[in-house]
Amino acid sequence: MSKSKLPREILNNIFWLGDCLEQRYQGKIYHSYNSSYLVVGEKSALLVETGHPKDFNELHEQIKGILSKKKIPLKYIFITHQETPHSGGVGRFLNIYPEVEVHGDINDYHMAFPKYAANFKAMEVGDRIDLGGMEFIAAEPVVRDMRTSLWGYISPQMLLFPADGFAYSHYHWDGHCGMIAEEADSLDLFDVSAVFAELALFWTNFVDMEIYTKRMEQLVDELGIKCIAPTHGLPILDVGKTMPKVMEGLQAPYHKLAS
Amino acid sequence: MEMILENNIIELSSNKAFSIQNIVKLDGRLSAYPPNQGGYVPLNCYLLKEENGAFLLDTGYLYHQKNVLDQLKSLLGPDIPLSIIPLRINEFMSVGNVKAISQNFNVIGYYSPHPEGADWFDFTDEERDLSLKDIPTTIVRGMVNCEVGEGSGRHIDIMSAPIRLINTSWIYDKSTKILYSSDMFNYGIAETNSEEWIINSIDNEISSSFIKSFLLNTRYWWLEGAKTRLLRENIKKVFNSYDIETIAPGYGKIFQGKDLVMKQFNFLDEILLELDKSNSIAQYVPRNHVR
Repeated sequence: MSKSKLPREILNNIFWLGDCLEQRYQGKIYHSYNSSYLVVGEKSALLVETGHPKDFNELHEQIKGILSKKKIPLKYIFITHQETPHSGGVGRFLNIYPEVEVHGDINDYHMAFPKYAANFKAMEVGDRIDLGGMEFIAAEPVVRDMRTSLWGYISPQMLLFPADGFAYSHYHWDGHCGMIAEEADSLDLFDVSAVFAELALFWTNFVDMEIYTKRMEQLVDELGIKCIAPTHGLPILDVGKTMPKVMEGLQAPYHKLAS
Repeated sequence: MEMILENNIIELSSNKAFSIQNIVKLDGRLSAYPPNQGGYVPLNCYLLKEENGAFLLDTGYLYHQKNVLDQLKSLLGPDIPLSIIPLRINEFMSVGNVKAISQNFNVIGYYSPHPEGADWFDFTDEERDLSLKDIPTTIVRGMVNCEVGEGSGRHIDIMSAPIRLINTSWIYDKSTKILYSSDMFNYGIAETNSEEWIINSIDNEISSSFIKSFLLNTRYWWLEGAKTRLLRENIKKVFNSYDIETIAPGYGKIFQGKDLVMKQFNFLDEILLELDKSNSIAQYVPRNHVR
């Protein structure tokens, strides 16, 4: 068990992995996650995101612990985009699992990990990976951190992996590490989403995010998303209750700058 | 596909500033360029050098590791104290070779927006090289002024980029009048791999419409209908505060000459005004929407 209280099985055979990253803001220490998720199908397992470079050993121990019990091989990695907190661990995974296929938008990786260029397989929205009893499907990235971002979801659980789309920190001092969003009663979701957007998603300061939050709501409806597994935020198991607060926070930097 | 076409070193200021270049052919696989963009560009790292110290801005992709190490060796003795500033700490192009350079040169410091720089640079071998953690990190937030080579009197300003997508620094070096602009002004693209990698004629073929399209098709898809006034003001402050004779971007050709520099600023300012919400309607921009 890591100090961040992970891994945690958030849905049947879907595990939340990783560790917290400490960030200081206005005299307080916030934690945010650089999460990965392990999806264990009947035939194969898929890892979503490869974590922050510093977390590799921790993450790998968590994965080994789960897969040794499940007796299912890690066959796929999906990475949402090319920033190192999301994809920085992929080279290390390929050192250990050279047969693993890495799916997603594949820009830059042939330059970043030339030894493994052949492992990277391009995905586009709608492309599918069969894990046995569940499928991973690439989805439209509504809120992007790079032009090349790509999201995905797991069917039939309808769990969305939105990368930086639902990004917010949590209060370490209130014991939120390892909690689902709905369990973190004292977490001001509007505030932490707004602060994260202002600091980490620079463009949201200048863009009226209503057009993006509307599209996000449409996407959730269109796909029938029931749960959300963000890279930086706590997992969301009650979309109806939690998503509106996060979307409101995403719009806040623009309105703050306008005022 | 073989991507290395040639590697260059350009001396931008006599024994003070060098562009360490590796030229690539654009084939739709570089996130810094539009997916449909062809041509050739240099990927630029920069070495700022004095007799008793140097700074390296960005370290290039792992793909070019041998080239970058060889290029650096040709410019820098192994004992000269070297500091590394990755201009975009989250991007492989900035941090890809920090570890190898730290293992081969006398690296005395990292500059990073995060307190433990070494945590962000090591992602290749099975085990981390924890000796990198012994190299101290200077935290870069807001404006940081530092000296290239102790006692040289040559100071550079590290600033938060006034327009950016992710955490990005720009750097101004007063002694050489060079602005290092990271992922802005990256649109100097060659049709062949035998062109000059510095533009110094004001009558070049780069147009405002091309730059606008380039911005919208790369990391600035969000600008159309955005509130650009503050962005324009902050960019203007940089160009008004500093005497800039060269724009040295992280990718693409280098712009040299005061008039040419001002032309690039004016292009950007006019484009941002055109894209401002007072002149353009914001719309949802899906992935791979090329304009």
